[in-house]
Amino acid sequence: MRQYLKRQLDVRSQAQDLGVPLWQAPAILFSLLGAIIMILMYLVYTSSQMSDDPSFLIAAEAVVVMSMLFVGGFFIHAIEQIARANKMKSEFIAIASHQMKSPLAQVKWLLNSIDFSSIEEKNRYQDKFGQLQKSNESMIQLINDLLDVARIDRGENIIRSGKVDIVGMAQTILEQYTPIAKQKNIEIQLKNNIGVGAKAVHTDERRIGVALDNLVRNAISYTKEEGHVEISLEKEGEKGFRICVKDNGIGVPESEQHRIFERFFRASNGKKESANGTGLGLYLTKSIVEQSGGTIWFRSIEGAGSMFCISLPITNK
Amino acid sequence: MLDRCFVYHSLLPINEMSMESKNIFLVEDDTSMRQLLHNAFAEEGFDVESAKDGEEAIEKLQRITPDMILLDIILPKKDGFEVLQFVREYEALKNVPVVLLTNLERSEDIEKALSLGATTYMVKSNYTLQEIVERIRSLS
Repeated sequence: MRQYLKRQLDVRSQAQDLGVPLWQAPAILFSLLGAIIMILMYLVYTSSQMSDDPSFLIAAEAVVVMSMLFVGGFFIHAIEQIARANKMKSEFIAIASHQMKSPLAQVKWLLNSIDFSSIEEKNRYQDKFGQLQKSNESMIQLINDLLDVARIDRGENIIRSGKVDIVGMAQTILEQYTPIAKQKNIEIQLKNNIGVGAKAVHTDERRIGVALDNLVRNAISYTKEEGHVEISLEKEGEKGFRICVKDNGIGVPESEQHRIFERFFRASNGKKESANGTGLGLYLTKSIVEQSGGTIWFRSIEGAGSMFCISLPITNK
Repeated sequence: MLDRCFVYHSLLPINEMSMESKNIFLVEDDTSMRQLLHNAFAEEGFDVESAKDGEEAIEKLQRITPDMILLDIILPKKDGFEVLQFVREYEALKNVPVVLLTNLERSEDIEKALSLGATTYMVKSNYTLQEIVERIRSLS
């Protein structure tokens, strides 16, 4: 009895975690139990002489069907509750993230408006201020990512259609990551095979920036010292282009490759290499690319490197 | 007296002369953010008037005609969209530029704001205070 109660309590606490109301956990158990008894009764009676009576047979079948419906109903209800809880969780993330945006914006404004009164003061504090700004920016980025993920989970389209100068964007990202790569002695370069200017796509500048940024950041994070990272831009037929980020880093183990775009998933060797990371980057990148009408694919060999490619439609205007 | 005015004005560079008369109306519910924006614009020579919610904004805007309105979207009592709608329907304010300064970054919100007649839309955390001031200066 004690064990039954304990199990019942476990079910309750699990149900509570999933957002299923407390009263439903025993209800589901009892209805399941009811259904099992009904099925047993049916089996017993159909094998006995009573099964010769057709009216009893129909009644017994009706009871079984009804109890199955009863159980099914409860399960559907429970699943709905779980879906609702999941939606509430997404909404909570969205609201909490929004609340954090205001103070983060203020910190950004304040940090940027600080003037040093002398050269000595500047020399003394500049690095610290730089670091504060960087931390603040990465927090803003994380909040933006969380907001985007919550919206993707709700099935919303996050892309604001517009034209993007993809070559300019790749160059900016290259400039931004060159000093970071240098710290690890990683050589980073851009191979542009689609020319300058004129190339734009119908997508969202900030979001495509996030996608490309994620790929380049991953490439640098998961490449060991003295490694090599290459961003390349290629034409893909008349109406498309491809941007690839290739590295000779740690790669993704073959057994984990099918899970690489899952939300919150991080490859086991990646976790060892870098403690930072939320596992949202590639999930978000894939969603952004797909919502922009493009595709993303990758090839990777553990210990040898990875190559991630994004294909997007292009306009020549 | 007239002479003195003439001398005073002729000593000022033209852009400062025009800047002196710029009035900005700021609608922001977050006190510290309102203070930050207020100070930044005041330092740049703008005259700043502010409101902490949508109702107060509409009430004040019936009495004053600013050169530019800076508007948050998530506000108590009446939200930024309602204030924007009021501004665009109110004769004296119809042509006043309205800049939406907000945390909302959903494309629906941006499109809604622009379709209601916002001049431009700025996401707070994407800009520094100086960038915001510069942008407003270029629009006013």
